[in-house]
Amino acid sequence: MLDKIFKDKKAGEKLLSAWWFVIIVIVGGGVAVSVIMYYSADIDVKEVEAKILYEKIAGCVIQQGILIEDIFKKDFDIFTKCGLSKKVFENQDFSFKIRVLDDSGKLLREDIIEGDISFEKDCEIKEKIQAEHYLKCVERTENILYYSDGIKKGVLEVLTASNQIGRKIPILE
Amino acid sequence: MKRGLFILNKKADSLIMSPVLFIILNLIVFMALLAFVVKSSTGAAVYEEAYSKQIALLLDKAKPGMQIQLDFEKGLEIAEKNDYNGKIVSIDKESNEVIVKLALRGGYGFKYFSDYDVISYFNKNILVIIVDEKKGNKNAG
Repeated sequence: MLDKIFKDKKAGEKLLSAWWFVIIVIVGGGVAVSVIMYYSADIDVKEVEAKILYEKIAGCVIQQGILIEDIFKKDFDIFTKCGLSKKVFENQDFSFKIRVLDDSGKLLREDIIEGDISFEKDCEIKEKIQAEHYLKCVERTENILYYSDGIKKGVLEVLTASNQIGRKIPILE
Repeated sequence: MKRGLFILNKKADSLIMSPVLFIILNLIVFMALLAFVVKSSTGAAVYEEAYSKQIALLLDKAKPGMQIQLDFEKGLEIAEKNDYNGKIVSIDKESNEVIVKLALRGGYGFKYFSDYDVISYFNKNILVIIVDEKKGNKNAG
């Protein structure tokens, strides 16, 4: 083979034909496009964020398995109580819904919904379809105890979602 | 055909030149491709995004009174390679955003949802983040 490459003039000429450059452009272009696509892809942390948000909310309203009494107060502020930034939720990057039910399924207080008000529907859609650039949701139900003329059993439902896309700072900024 | 001492065989010359040129061109092309892949994989943009998301998630998970230490060696190495001496990590408490810059131009911003007072500084290659309760908010738990 080597003998042929080095001695056969015709073969040498063929090696440097325009077709070889076409192949190089295709292979090189393919590698370049793949690398650009791979490294420009987002590191998706939406689900992790939604899980952390759930843990933060649940860990703040349930203390030692008992629902905090403040949650039944009319002026209950979840943001202050749980150390959450209200303005971030107003931007609708994050959303959550909290439901407090007794053991028969009756609502104990009105739902707390913050962030994008339509996020529940988006979460339902997300369960049915595969969408890449869509919000990610986490839904958990916790069995709790709460005070109301003694200790009673109840259920806490928390649905959290994140739809945050990071911001690439423009080169000219 | 007359052949002098310094006159090379034209036919033999062209026979060797083609494959040599072929190998050299191939080497150039594949070296350029390799350099491109290496540059892309160790580029500032990838690390800016990774670090800003990592810091934002750490802040989301943190509780008041915590001190977080993050190994930032690779980030500092890239910033040094890019001759960038500016602020590498900025935590904007107004917009709740972590901005990481490893080069003069560009950067990456990612928001966190915790509402705490955050102080960050570098201790050699370690990024130290101190999370504290927001002043005037004693209810946060």
